[in-house]
Amino acid sequence: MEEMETYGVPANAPAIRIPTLQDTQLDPLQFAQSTCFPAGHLVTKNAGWRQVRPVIDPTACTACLQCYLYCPDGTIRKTHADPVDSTQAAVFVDLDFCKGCGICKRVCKFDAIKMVPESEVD
Amino acid sequence: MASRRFLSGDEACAEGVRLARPHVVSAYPITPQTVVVERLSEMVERGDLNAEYVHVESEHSALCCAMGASCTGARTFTATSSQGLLYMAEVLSYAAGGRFPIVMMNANRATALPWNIYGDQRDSLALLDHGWIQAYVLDNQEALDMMLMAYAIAEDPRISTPFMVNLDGFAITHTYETVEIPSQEQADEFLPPYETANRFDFENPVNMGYSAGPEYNRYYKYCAHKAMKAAESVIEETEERFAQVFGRKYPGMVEAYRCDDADYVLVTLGSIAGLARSVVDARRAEGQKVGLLRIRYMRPFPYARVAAALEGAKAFGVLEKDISFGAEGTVFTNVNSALQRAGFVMPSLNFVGGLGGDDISEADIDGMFEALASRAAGEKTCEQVVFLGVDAPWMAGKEA
Amino acid sequence: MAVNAKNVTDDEFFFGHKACAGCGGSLVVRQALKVLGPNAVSALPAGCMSAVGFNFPQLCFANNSVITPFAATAAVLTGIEAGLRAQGKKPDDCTVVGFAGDGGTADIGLQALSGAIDRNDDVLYICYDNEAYMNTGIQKSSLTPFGAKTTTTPAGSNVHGCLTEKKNLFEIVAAHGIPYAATASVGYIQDFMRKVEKAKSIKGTKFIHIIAPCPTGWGCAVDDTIDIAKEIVDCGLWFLAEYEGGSFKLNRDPKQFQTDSTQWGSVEHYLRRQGRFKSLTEDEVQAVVEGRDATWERLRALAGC
Repeated sequence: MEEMETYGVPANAPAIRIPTLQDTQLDPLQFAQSTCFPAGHLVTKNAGWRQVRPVIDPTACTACLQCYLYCPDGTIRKTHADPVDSTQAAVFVDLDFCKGCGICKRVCKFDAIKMVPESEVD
Repeated sequence: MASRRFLSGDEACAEGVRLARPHVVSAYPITPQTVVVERLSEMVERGDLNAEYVHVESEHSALCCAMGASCTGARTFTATSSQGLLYMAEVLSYAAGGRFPIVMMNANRATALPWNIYGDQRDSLALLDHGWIQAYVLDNQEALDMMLMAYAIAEDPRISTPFMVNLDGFAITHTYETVEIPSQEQADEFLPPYETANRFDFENPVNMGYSAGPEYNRYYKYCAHKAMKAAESVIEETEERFAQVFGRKYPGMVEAYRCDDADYVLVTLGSIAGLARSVVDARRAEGQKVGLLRIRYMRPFPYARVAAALEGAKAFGVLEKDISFGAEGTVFTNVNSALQRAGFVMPSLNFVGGLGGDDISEADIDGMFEALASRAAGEKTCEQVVFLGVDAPWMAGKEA
Repeated sequence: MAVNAKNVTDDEFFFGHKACAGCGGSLVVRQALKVLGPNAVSALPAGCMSAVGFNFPQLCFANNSVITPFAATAAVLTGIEAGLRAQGKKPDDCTVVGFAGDGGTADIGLQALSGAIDRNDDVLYICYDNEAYMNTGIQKSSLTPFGAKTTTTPAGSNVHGCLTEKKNLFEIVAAHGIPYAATASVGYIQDFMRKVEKAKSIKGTKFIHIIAPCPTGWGCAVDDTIDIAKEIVDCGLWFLAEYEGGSFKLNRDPKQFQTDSTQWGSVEHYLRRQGRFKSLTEDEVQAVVEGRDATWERLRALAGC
């Protein structure tokens, strides 16, 4: 199955088990022979739900990973960056699926996350 | 080594299930099915049946547990009757739509209200639309044999549909007959292990039992319908194979007895066909051309075979142990559709009898042929949908 | 070492779903599956999580998963576990886990749950409690708390919302003599994850009841979920506890609850920040406070504190 390009996910992000966008042609007379289908098959993004998006300040990020723990959608994930590298935060935002709920900002005790309106982003 | 034993229908069913080697048995007791589940638990205890026996706390859970096991690719069995069948009705549709080849024994029993534990066929006939293959057995041998055939048909990858085997409550379930019990070797030769892609897989995980909206939903229904239609030929192939392994040949989706040149044919389901056959023989001995058509499979419905058996008759009657209130008996409805499709038109009567375990006698059946002859001659001697023991004139004196 | 943010797997088994922004329930499923690993087999009844996670062709579980009939989560779990074991196909690290809502557990699903515990089937049952039938539009369940406005307990001039107390589901389950039961909150997610990890290592039936706020149904901002889920614990209207080996244990036993009703951590502050409790009078809030105190007296007695 082909995987569609995602956006916001760094090229060096670790390969993980995760549902992914697929581009398969679906033949109903094949798939409708049962209600059993390969796991983790996605066809749409959730990006369109957002009105604000999280932006992470790598210099303020302490790698406490609370945002990673509390994201309901699994759209803040670990970069596994070197902790002493202050140009890379410990986490990145998967902008294809982030809904902009803002929980990450609320749980961050280090003010490393700001919610920025979509309209202000390129 | 095959053996012969004197068994009740419930016991014969349990032997058939044992030979089919289910992985999981989950069932809830209800009269008159209880002996099936009791015998199965004894077999598990003795080590004759190597299955997980789950003591579920309701019929709804019984079928859901079987379905959960089927999701793992396990062969599963459950059994119920009447109120229990209705309680799990939601799950019938669920299992059929999920294409799980679960086999269920149903002891045909009247449904409340009023309460009644005796045999009639309203329970399963009311649920024909839920996507299960439905067979109705004649006797205890067929009950045993049908357990093996049911798995073979249900699990066929072209079919992948759950299968309900119906035994008349008490008339079959609690009546004793000599039955041949095949050997496990024969059963294994006939019924291979269950293989399917419709199951969980740890190498390539799947999501099962999902929702499908308006864009796709109809395709699932279409595929399920087509698969059940395809069961017609698989049933015949399976009976052919069964005959080769066990030496007993079953007659296909219908059993036509002396119908070829019959003027009047009685159509029925289940054990009452045995008695009806005696009446046919008695009338034939007096030179009357009568026949009996026993429908063995109500789903898929054997339209062509029913029409072929009734072609040329002057009149036919359907004797069934159910009524669809405000309408007619369900078997009558299905048979009439078969004739309509074939372009045959002939007088007909619907004999609704045996409700709540009411006895049907040879004399009662004899009266049905008389009524058919009158109807064919243009005389209306009774209603078209006639209730035996209530408004059947040839049974005058039998009303309460 | 106990599971934590650093050592939990990077895998995401519940992803791409259509839950509301800020959904507490989805966090429950996400973290539980991360702790349980790739060989977990999950079953979900009708409810929010199945509705948002399994709409063909958007299938949001990376592990083996199935939707069950509404009443049947526990029965299907039983069947899955029995089927895997009967065929010798159950990996050592396979947990058969159910995720059902408060309605699907304490109401329509209670019978099947009781049956599974009675049989001590080797399954983990997680109830994500958003305190109403949220998926169908916020109707009252038996876990809806006193005073909550729902679409079937509307707040008007006669009645101000739900008139019944939350059913004591945790104690009902414990009364079966279950090997392990626990309460949790998405506000203390690491505590929940450790309870899932503990449950994974126990044979027999395990049950975790986790409070999972629903911004849509509770009437709060979408980013309030975690804070509210902390406050419900800190003000004592929920509790973190375990039942294991026949004994109760309180994981958190505050010496004193916040008494200043204007402050975070007081019952009044917790109630007043949510739209669903808007109609409560001072007296009704006071009744809730007293109910909390009575509950804690009973819990402390159970836990032998």
